[in-house]
Amino acid sequence: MKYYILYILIVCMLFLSGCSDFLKEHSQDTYYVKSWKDLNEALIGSCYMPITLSQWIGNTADNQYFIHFLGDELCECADGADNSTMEQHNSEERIFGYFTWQQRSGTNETYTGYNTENENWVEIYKLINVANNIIYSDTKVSHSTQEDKTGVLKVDGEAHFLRAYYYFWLVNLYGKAYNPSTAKTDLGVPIKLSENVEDKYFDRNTVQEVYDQILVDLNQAESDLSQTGTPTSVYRAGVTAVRFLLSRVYLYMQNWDKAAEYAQKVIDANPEIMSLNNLAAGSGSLSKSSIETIFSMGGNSLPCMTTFRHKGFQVSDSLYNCYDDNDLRKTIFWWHYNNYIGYTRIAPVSSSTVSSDKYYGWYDYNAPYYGRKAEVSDKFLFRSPEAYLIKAEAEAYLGKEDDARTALNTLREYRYKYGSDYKITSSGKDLVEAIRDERRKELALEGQRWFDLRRYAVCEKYPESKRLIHRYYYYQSTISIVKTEYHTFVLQPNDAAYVLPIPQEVIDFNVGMKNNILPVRTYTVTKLND
Amino acid sequence: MVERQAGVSITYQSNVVNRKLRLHLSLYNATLERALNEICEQAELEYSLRDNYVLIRKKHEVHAERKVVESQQSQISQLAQEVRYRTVKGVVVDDKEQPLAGVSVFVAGEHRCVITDDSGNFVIRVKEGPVKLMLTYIGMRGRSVLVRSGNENAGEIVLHEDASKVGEVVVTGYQQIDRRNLTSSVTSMNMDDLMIPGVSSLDQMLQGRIPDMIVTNSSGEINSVPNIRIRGTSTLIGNREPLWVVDGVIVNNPVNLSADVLNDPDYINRIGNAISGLNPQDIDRLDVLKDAAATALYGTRAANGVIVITTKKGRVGKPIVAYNFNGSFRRRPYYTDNKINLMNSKERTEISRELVSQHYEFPSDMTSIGYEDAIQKYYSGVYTESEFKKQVAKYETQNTDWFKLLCHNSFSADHSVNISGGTDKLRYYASLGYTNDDDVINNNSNERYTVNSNMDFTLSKNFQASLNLNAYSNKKKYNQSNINPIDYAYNTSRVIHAYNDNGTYYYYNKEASGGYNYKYNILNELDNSYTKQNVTSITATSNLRYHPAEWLNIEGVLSYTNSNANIEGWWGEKSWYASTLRGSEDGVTAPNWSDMPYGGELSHNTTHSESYMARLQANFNKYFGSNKQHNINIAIGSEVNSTRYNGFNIENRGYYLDRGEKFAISIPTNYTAYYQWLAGNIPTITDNITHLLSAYGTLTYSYKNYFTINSNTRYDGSNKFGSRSNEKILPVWSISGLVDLRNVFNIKTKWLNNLSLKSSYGEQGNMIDGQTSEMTLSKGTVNTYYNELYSTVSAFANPYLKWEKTHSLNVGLEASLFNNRFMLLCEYYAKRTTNAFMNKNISDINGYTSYVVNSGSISNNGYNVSFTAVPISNSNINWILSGSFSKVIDKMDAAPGVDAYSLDDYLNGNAIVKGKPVSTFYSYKFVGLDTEDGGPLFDDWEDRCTELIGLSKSDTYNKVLVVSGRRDPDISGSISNTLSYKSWRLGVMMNYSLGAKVRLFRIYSQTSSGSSTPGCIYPEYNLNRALLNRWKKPGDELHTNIPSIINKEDVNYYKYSSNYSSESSEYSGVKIADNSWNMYDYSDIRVVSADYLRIANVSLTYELSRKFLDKYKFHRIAFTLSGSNLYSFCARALKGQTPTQSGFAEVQLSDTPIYTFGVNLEF
Repeated sequence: MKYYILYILIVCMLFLSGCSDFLKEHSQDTYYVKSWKDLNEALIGSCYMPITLSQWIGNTADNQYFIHFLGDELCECADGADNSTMEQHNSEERIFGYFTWQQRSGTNETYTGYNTENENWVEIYKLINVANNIIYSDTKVSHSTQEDKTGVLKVDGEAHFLRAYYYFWLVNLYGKAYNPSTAKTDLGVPIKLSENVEDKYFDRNTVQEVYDQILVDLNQAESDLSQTGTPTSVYRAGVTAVRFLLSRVYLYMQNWDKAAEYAQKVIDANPEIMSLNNLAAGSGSLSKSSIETIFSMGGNSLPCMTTFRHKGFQVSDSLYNCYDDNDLRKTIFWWHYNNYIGYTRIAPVSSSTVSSDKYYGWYDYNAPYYGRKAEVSDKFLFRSPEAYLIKAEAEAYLGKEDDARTALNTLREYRYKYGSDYKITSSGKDLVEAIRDERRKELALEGQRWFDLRRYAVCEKYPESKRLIHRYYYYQSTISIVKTEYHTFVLQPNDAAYVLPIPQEVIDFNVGMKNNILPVRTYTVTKLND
Repeated sequence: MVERQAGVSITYQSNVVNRKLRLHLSLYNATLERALNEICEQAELEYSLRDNYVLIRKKHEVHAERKVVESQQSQISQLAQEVRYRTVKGVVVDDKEQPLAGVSVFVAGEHRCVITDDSGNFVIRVKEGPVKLMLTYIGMRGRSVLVRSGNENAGEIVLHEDASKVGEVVVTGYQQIDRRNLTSSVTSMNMDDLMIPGVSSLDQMLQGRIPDMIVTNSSGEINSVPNIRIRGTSTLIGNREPLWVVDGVIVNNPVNLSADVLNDPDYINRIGNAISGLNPQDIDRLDVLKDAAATALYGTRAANGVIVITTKKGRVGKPIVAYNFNGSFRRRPYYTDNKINLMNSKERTEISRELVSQHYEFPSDMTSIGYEDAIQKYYSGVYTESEFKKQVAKYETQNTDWFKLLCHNSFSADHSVNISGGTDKLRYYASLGYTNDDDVINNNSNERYTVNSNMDFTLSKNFQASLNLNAYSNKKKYNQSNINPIDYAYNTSRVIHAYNDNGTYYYYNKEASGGYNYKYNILNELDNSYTKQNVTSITATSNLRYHPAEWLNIEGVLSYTNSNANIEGWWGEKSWYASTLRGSEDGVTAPNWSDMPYGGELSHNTTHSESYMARLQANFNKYFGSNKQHNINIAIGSEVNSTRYNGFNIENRGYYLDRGEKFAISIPTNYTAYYQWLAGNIPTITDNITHLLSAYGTLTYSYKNYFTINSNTRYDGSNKFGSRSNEKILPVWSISGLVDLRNVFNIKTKWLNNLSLKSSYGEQGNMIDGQTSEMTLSKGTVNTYYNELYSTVSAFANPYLKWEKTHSLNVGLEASLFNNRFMLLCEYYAKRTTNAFMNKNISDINGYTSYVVNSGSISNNGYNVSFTAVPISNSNINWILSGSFSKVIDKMDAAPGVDAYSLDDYLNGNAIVKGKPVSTFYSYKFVGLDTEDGGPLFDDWEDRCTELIGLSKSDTYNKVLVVSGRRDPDISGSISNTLSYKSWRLGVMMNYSLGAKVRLFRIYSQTSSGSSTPGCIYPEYNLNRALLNRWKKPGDELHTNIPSIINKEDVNYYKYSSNYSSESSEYSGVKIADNSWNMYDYSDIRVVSADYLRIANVSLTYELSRKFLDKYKFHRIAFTLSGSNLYSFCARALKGQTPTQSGFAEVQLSDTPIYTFGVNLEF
């Protein structure tokens, strides 16, 4: 009998010894954060802007695409490439509320209902929340080795940089442009920095508070990343990217000294500008390997959103006409066919057609880019020319006009045909206008124009607010290519619609949150009798 | 010993009791009275029982004179050595004519006893003259037989199973508890009482049989598995299915299905559940554990109740081979069934003709077919007038019998053989089963092989071991999930023919997405598709029991299961489905945007699961006290459980089944869409391991026979990721008690055999997956854009989440009357789930919009009454009548998020609404028909829609929609009758359900998916006969509520084609409806009661007589004829639509009658 007991005991012992980590938590693919490496992986997976596929307006998963449609860079195609075969383009409808500066961005073209308005808002706050959690978690992970310490600094720096960038993006869409005299009372966006759920109704912080937070984060990022070396690719932020964003933020805050100082730091670190004279035909001026590229995140839907079709969008004449004929950007940035001006800032996918063919845009950009990831973003992109422009602008306001002209002309030299006269010699307000004009040309469709228009209006030195006009076409039916009429919308100088309304879903949920009051958008109707 | 067990003190005079007398007693779980009766009868003593004192006296002291004399005479004759003996032989069988081995046979008044042999035979030496033989056997009612003098053969003595005896012991999987000490709520059933011939799985036999357990069959298909809910629903997000336990071991589903899939009332589970591989013939008994006290030992997994199955074991005796055959006939649906209220060709053509004559504008996406097609051809000059008339005449008489084409009357067979027997050392039971179920739906079948063997060894006096082996292979075949032949037959116009005149398939064009049309014939579609499923599984369980002392018993269990499930889905290249992917008809070269340029589609879903369990348990059972009145019973144990599921899922295209099961190779690269699909077609692998290490304990204290209290607790440690079960002890405990009212109040009434009251209270906790106290990441692979490995955030921390807790109270009253001829059990329970998990909406500024909080609360009360009566019981006739009644009252006490549920959820009963039971559904409020055009009118708040602006979804729907009732019944039960007369046995089982509501099948949205233009009449669809009675002219609204068919061209059409809430620019509130036709189908007048009383089963068994059997050396031959689902009494408004089948989703096959013939042979 005793043997039996012995046997049972032996079996039990075998069991217990065999399963020392029997209760160790198991999951197929989920895990806890143990080291900075895990957070580093999470940065790519959940904190940097997702790399969306290039898609048509109706389909794009890019939630910030509307930025290009607010200003004066895009307009609706007056006609399609081929009336007989090309059908109308996919759903411009989604952009209507933004493009025509409606009281609610989701307004549909028949004013009968609303599209979703909070896609951008939700996505950005989602990314901010991941940044909050990474910042919280990086204090908990191991700091034992030197590698760990550097790793934690890197992760912490990038997360602070991203959080700053996201708040900067939000406050410039949903808050008034930074005006040093009113920023303390102007409403910006809610700030949430904690890692846990706050189950409450949020209220908006002031523009000043948001900018202060941005600077706190960026200073932290700068101090962290200055100890970690250069990033592995342009898709990861290093200290230069942080300083770049600092110079841009100070420029927006009209802190010219700091803007110039940080722009100079960026130029020192990354002085190269690509000469367009040396650029091979059909290779595009924007790429990740370009010597100008400092940082990029997110996708680029412009090759698909602009197209030579009915109900498509194209580059506006007013933008195209800014460029001198000697300015190489006029032919390298854009493709021109009859009245159509297309986007060619990135390289075509194939070169099956020649650029003089009316199908060039379709077969080399729209169709092949559909469902593809572009190399660089059309919104979250840092390039060295901008540092020169910031430097020029800041120095001009500071009265150091020589420095301003030098910075400006350094850029222009690389943009004009060899031997042509590129030099700017003006001063005072003319110089500032020349710099603003240069920004418009150099940074066209990089997601900056709308923000620039806003800040020029509150610039203490040379305030200037533009009047914008957009036309929206109506067709016989949803499948017809026959236009019946167009409506003309005007955004007046200093119009309240220079600030986007807070998404209705957010207002609905957060009881008590104040919205931006926009005027009812009126329009004039022009009938077309084709 | 009697004192210890029963907690009484026994007094006797020492000279009275013969200490040398050794009695053969076969008493197991007997009552005190019975024990004393037996003892005294054998020892010629007499006793009296008062309070807790037993006084034992010599029998003749108070007995009748005659007996004294008799006894004296026998003493005298013994003394005189004149006693003459004779032998009496006989055979003992049970009420199924099965010989009983091991029955104790005594001669009354003597202490001699023999035991029957394997064939039930006994021979006993008795004195001359008439003698009385006493027969006792565990689980059988004792019997005495008078053998007259000179009679040497007592013949066949039938012992009847004691109806009360099934419940004498309760099997909980961890313990066997004497029912008299059972403090919790457990229903025990003998498999013989549950068995429905022709049904191949146990779960399908349970409908209405167990109080407080609701079994719903979502479809009458043979492969579908019913939903089982014990005592209502007590969790919102978690799993609601009970736990299955076979011979003490928890069994798992072959495929891991998520809780929300299983909780969906419209989901039809064809994959099978944990017990699909168990042959009902191998099952001995079933115990359903319902309250907290009963399930506490199983921990959190048992929150929805536990169903414990015990399989058959061998008995000591010569090997007995039994063969069982059941042949079942299932009847297919017919158009003539009252169930199907559909138009025939003539009626359908008449409607078409009427519509055409009214210049009805047909929807643009219609298929041109039937009368509409003929008249179009006539107008366009293709047909002459005579050709047209001929064609129409043909259509009118076409009457395609879709049910005949898609279904057949089927025959299923079920064979099983088992062999059982044993010796003192080894008892065995081994069986082999084969089931071949053929469904009435063509090509749907279920084939199953089962092997089962149970061996029990007695190694020594203190050691016992058993080894069980169970293996099965289950092959199922059913349709691809997007073809539903019954739905098709129901909805397709009978004008359409299936075959051309030359016998080939007739195809019509069916629209696919994107406006393309491809030829379609349902028969071709079925020929070119299938879902095949193969599940194989083997389980081995060994059990070792050691009892070193009488009060101690140690048990070790080891069990291992390995199972494989393989599901294969195929679409052939000739199918319409393949055409839609290909973008061209079969045989036509695919365009370059094709998603499947060549061949068909083959999907493979493999799940391999492996689990083991080891348990060590010690049971202490001791009596204390001066009079041994205290009994303490303790069981403690620990258990290790491990379950691993490995899944692999892949879909392939370019497959040719009939070309040697090969795939197309070298598909040209210009098929960019295909290659894009291929790039995204990544196989998914799932690997899910669950480890549990548990310790549990139970303590029971009984004081005499008066009361019992019991408490249970369990601790589980698990490897569940992210869940906090490792951090805190699981709150699982229960206490319960039992009071024997008869003893406590000293009720002496003769007719009352037992009256006891029991009660239990317990708490169970629950935690859901994916909730974590710190942020978790999910591993991604390589982000090729960054060229780095990446991870995504899987879950953010939810550090303040607490356990979901269910408190439950159970009160039961059990009475047994008239010598146990009538037994009654009433139970009441109240369950309250607090801190129930719910998704709460939060501001999106948090980065996400909802998180799980403990804000839910559900109360769930109910009661049940069940009884068993034996009105007649004698040697010829035995009648057992039993019935049950259960009622559940459940209510949601806390409001979920205001936008948590959509309109469809409200209409379909998936929404959880505060103050309403789970499964409540809503309808539109119908107010009548328009007097001008006969269109349906609803109270949709259009006139006061301003009041709705700004309201949330839940507020809007609660205002506008009306509550129609609940989908699940709140009252259910059964009545069953078993009447035996000589060799005949008749069983009638009826079950009923009350309180559920059902929606009539839709009449205006003609397909289950909803036609693109509701309210329009599509020529390809059949129509409900109700439309014959529709509004046609003003005044009709007085006697019909079926709306008219309104032409698109009609000036009033716009009134119905879109609801104000979906179109109006002024209204900015929540959308209420799309159009009036849809609203009509979902309106309150289309809701009827689903109450029913169903004749679930009638069976008649004939047993061949002993005489005949002996001649041919058989033990038993029995024939059974049975019919299941014979008839349902239900609301007339259902027009025959089965009450369990509602129009919520697709039309499914309702329960069809099954007629079964069975043979049982034993030799």
